[in-house]
Amino acid sequence: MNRQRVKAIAKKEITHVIRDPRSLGMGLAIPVLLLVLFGYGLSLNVDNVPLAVWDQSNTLTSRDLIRDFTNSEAFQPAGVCYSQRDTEDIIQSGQATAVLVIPPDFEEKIARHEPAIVQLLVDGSDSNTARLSIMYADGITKNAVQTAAMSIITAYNPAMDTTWSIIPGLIAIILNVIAAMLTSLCVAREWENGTMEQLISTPMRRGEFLIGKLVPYYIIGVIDLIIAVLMALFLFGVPLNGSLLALAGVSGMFIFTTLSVGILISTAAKSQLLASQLALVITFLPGFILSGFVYDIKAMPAVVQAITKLIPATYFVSLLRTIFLKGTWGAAPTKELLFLTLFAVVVLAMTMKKLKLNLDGR
Amino acid sequence: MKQQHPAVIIEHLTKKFGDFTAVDDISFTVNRGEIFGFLGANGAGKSTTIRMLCGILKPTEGRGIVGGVDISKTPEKVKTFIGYMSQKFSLYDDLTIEENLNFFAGIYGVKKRKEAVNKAIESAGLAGKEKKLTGSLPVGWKQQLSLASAVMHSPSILFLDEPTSGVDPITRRKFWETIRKLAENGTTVFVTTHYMMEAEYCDRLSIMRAGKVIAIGSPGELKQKYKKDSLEDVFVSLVQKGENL
Repeated sequence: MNRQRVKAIAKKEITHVIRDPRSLGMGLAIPVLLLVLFGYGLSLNVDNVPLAVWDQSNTLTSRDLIRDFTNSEAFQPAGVCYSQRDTEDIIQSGQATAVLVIPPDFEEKIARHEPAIVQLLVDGSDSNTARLSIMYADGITKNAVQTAAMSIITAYNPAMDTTWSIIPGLIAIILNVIAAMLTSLCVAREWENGTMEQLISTPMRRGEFLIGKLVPYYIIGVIDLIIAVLMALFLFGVPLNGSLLALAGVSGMFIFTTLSVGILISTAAKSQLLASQLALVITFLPGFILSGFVYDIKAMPAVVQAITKLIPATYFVSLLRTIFLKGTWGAAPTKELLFLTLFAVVVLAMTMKKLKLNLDGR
Repeated sequence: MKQQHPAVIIEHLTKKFGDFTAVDDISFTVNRGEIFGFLGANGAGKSTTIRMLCGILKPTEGRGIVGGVDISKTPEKVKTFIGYMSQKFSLYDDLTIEENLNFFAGIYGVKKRKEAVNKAIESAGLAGKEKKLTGSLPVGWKQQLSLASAVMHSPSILFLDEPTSGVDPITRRKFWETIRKLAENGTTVFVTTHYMMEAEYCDRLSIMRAGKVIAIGSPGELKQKYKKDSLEDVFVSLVQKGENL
């Protein structure tokens, strides 16, 4: 391994990035943009759910309860119903997403300290909003009515603010895609521009080539990480309960793993267009769908669950959430770090095997 | 490179791409310090031969010894003492002249890099232009730069694949002055060309047709053997003879 050679390649690669506004934009601007877009847009909080009311009791107690609902940020008044038919119509028309039905004997039951049951009709076509509406309604009702003394305490994210759980996962997903995209061009570009022919006529070794290529993009990846974490803390107000060192260590390893995936794609594809598209599909889709970022892994079929275990992003999403919100390392962080390391080693070994410093593979 | 070896020894060298035989059982020797010209129509197999000798294409059959090293067994060893300039311009367009030279000096592990780069810029006649982006240069300058970066590490054998195609006559003459200077200093130069005038500058030549070497010798010998006044006539008669077969 010749250090001078690695340095020459790294320096050249940095110059490429600096001279090319597109790759600079992809490296630094896109992650910020994605974080802002998804951070605000993908918020799973519901607020101002239009709520209609059918108050059959029409008493002081029932009106108090209704006020509790409409005063909360989660709901806003959207009409009054006087019959079963009304409640169905108002949901059908879309004027209200939920209807609160208070039975005629509501006040009496409360007075007698008997369990009083109120009904919430929810538009289930958007199951996510529905689920959250029910959760909120449950909370409001239990607070208002003393009969039900039980309360639910949500751990780690007491406000159930989904921004808190989304942002750490989002950082993982964005780094996942950007890191792979960055390196996906760097080998294919040399083939496409014909510069590879000159390079392979020199005594440069494969390892020197790969390390020289990885170093600059690793630096960009780390800059992205720093920007993303700063945005999480100061723009979105997500608390960092765990140690910064844990965050740096886990992220550092993950960035390396994903850069390796990108460089393998670039080596195999040999065309920049194909390589970047492959990188997008291979990292973004599994990262988004199967990593546990959006969908709960425990709710997936066993086969799919097994697949999620092979995706680096799965480990990174859960580790970042753990470090940010729980403030611990999780149950067995070494296992996850070991997986990421192993993954990178396997991918780089495949790249070495695929990378031929001659024209015969073309 | 051991001094007793000829620069290049080729024995029954063959390269096939699928069913197509690009280089068909060729054998010849290139002596040290010689300017060896490689003539042939497009697609005759010149570039394929050069690529094999540079260790970037594996021979299908036969043997090639460059600087005493077997190109099939240890191509990476060959690469340490050769210089290669490919037919297609293959330096970095988005790097400046100086950055390109610096890069190759780094890759070749050239000592006293700054001096070497300055010297290369000087001898390529690119002084004052070192901060220019390579992509914006005219073809002649690009070729000068390619040559300068190919000899950055003072290779003992230099392979040039049509170095002067698309270059104006004045630059071409300068180019050949550089080549001759390199040869005088002991560098073996293996060069392919289309220009007969350039062929006259070579110490020895070989003419290739359809993957085979059909003639070899000094310009004088070839003219005498085929009883022609110019190399162009020799070339045309040999290549046409093949087409009529």
